Amino acid sequence: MPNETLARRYATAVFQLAQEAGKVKDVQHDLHTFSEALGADEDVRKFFRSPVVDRKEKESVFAQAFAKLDPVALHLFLLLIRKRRENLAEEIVVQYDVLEREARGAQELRITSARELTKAELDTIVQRLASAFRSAFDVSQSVDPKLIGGVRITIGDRLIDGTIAGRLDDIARLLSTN
Amino acid sequence: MINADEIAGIIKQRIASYQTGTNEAEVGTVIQVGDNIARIYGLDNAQSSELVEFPNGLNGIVLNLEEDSVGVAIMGPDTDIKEGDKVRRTGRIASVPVGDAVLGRVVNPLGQPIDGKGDIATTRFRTIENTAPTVVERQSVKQPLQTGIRAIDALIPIGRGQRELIIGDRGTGKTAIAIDAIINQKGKNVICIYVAIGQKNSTVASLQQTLEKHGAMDYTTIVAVSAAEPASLKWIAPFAGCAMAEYFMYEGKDVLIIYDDLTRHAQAYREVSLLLRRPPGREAFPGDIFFLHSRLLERAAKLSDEKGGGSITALPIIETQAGDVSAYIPTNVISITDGQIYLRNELFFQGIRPAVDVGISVSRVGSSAQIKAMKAVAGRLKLDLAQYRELAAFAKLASDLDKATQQQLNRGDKMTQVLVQPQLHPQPVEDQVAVIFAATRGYLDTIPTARVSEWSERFVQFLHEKYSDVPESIAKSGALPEDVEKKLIAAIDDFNKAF
Repeated sequence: MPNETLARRYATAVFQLAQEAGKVKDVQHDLHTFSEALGADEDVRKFFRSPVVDRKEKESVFAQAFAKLDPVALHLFLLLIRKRRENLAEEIVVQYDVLEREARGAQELRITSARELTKAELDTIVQRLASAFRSAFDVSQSVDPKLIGGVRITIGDRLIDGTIAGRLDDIARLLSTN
Repeated sequence: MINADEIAGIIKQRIASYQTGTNEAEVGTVIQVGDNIARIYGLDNAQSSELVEFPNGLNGIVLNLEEDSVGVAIMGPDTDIKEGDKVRRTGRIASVPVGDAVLGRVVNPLGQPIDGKGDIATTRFRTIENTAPTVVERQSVKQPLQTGIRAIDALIPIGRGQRELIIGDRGTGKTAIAIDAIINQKGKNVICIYVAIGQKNSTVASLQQTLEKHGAMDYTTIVAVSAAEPASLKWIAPFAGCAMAEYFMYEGKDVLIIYDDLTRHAQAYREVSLLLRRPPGREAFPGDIFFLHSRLLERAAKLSDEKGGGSITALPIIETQAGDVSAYIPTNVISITDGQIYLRNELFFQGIRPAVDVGISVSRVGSSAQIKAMKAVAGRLKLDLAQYRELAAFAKLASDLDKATQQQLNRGDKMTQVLVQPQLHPQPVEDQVAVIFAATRGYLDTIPTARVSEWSERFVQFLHEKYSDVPESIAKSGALPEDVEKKLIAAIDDFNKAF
């Protein structure tokens, strides 16, 4: 979290470059490819992060391995290596997504429910919210049986809680005050 | 005691009235917590000094708005708050219950009762931070607020709507003056608010008992935050007390509020500020420490008649270290207030109690707020005492003194003694006038200095028994016309014969 501000600076720069080149989506895809590659293999991650490895060597290894990436994305990671900012990589990708979403005028929407929602249910919820908030959404869905029933919807900072667990919490608080 | 059935009944009622529905709120996440300060990620729309709610029902006040996070002062113990907890905005600004229901109660700075006397039955709330009355809403201070203490009412008079600082070292009787002033408001239609900041709980308890014993709790509210409580609570305590006072002021009533003491308040605010990483200044106090106290004391006012004519008289207390009034907080508060009552260690140990140093204590608006009779007798007292002090300093060096000087010194001794007054014995202004009149006119010159206190006590008794029309007339008209003065002289002569 403390690196967020720093990561946002890098992400803004990359995003603007991508915008100028008209390759916002391509760069986003490539950033995620790289970030997933780091996440998938612990050795790669360690190698990328390690301050012990010679910078020049690291640069050339990554330049070869990820040669197929869009130059904007690739150069970002090479710059990070040169600047010893490797630990920012994942956060930059997250911040890039935020910027990309903002540019589209969309918001992040997280739906958590006690059981798996059917496609039709999900669509209804998203449609209702889209008309209420007059905004497009990037939907992510998860299941948490602890909610007992209902759905919990998170849009940015806003939390709409329609779960049984949430109501039980409220009752508990109501009874414990005074 | 409530029995099990009642508890079940209450729960039933609560559950029946429970509103179902979806809950919508803006939430953030705790990323750091410690020393009663939480840093919260998110809450992008939070406003400065907005209340936020932690999962266990604790409240916090938003203080710092930063790029990615907000700094929140937690109003209570932070032990149950963990990293990752969800914090929700309430959209409200911190407020306290106000109205008649708070009178006679001891509450914490959030307005919650801590005296075990049950809920505070009021639906009225007032935000703790409010702007002070503007220039057009005010009028000049013109009515006296009698403290019942001779040294103060005669020499450093306090008017309704004034801000008079009480300053002195520890143990010089600062609080005692405040308590006497509260007790003296009995039957005078003045509401009192006593804000205890960072004091021992035992001190607050004994204070409450004292006030109760003197029947002063009926018109008094104590806002107390003990030394063991978080700095954030100490910081909002005077503002909470002031909000309660303001409610009465805007209802057209007169209020006396005592902040005991602002030194500790400044220290609490310093603690909060430093933990929020605000830059420190002189004595490590933050840059806005002056504004903190000035905006608090500006809320003391005498409202114009169109606004109902209510008033808040503020008596802030400042504790000095070894009589040093040039430290940062004392100088700040001295410059904000309309005068100060300076208490001195040396006087206290000489037995001159209240240990008011009448030489350097001043009241910048006071004398327009004195009744005529007091003005007439006190003008002389002030002058004589000043001359006495000068002479006394000089006489220390000289061995034999001429008769006139000796007499002046003698008179000064008597007058100083007349201003000595036991604690918890506030005196009505008409009695003060009679006693001070006797001293300034030289009727005490033949009384041994050691017996002056006894004289004044017994004389007042005598006056009420034999010449009760004199104090009655002074109390009623507020003046001392010639015929009453003559009667007073006759009474003194009469009494002195038997004394």
